[in-house]
Amino acid sequence: MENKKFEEQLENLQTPQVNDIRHQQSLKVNLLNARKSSRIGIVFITLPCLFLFGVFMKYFLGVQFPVFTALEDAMANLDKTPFLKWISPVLLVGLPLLAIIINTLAITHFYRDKQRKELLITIKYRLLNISILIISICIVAIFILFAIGEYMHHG
Amino acid sequence: MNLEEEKHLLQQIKTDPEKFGVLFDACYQPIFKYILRRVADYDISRDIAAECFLKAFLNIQSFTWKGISLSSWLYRIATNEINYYFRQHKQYTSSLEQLKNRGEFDMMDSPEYVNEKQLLEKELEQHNEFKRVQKGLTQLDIKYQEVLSLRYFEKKSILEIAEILNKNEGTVKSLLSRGTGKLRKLIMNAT
Repeated sequence: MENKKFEEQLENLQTPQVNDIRHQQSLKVNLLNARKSSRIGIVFITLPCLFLFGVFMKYFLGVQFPVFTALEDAMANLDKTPFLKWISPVLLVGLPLLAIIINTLAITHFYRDKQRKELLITIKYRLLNISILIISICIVAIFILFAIGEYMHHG
Repeated sequence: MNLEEEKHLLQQIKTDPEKFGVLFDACYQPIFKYILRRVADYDISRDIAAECFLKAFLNIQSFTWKGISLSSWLYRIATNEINYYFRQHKQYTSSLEQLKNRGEFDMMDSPEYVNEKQLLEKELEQHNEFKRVQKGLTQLDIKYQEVLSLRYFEKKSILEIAEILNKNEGTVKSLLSRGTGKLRKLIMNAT
């Protein structure tokens, strides 16, 4: 009998009502985007890395890969076609530049403290993002230096 | 969301993981509330809820449809995580925590969330009767905590509880009856 009464009390128990939970959005963004930036970065720098590796093997070590030779020929052909000569710079410099932007945004966080009138910038220690960022910067730097070298040599 | 819609959503998630966001939007609040009512701590509830959804996100590709709703599946993960928390208590370190420590996953603690925490803690404080029951509940065996909280806090039916806990209805009824008796004695002795 007492159990029945207690059961009824529990059935009618008023529980705390939690409405307007806001933290779920930041969790959702984190959940769906975790590691995505670094994965995109890897895709973007794969081709330039392979190209530079091929250049290093062929011109510094004298090792030739048929795949690299074919890639080099294809790029040379593209350079000769006025409408398509922008493809090589986009693939070799544009994609690493995009990887730099995406990975920089992924590891930096800006917060404006209105009371203190401060802009706080934090950089997250994400090894994969930072590694891709460094590699992308190196790739872009190599191609820019190469372009400057070529310009000075020919001009 | 009905079962057919959930089945369709599951198929969509399997081809496009981004669609998990739809399930997240539909189920996050009820799951978070369930965890909060069980553990009565905002920070721990947030961690357990995040852990629960992270596990769901990572495992949903291997989820095979057997007529059990996705929300029941999420309740089951949440229940397991809460049980793990109660067993480990102070040593509780979620895989989410490990990811956060490695810097691969982070949740910002801006003043907005501090506000939210204060509001929720105030709401919990205002329910004295609930607090008394919740405190008594934590002293019971986990098997009773599960059924009692799902029945009386979440107002789930016996069938739903059976589905969530993967037990048959008879077992749930028996646990509910014995658990209610034990809880009554605990609360009576405490007053």
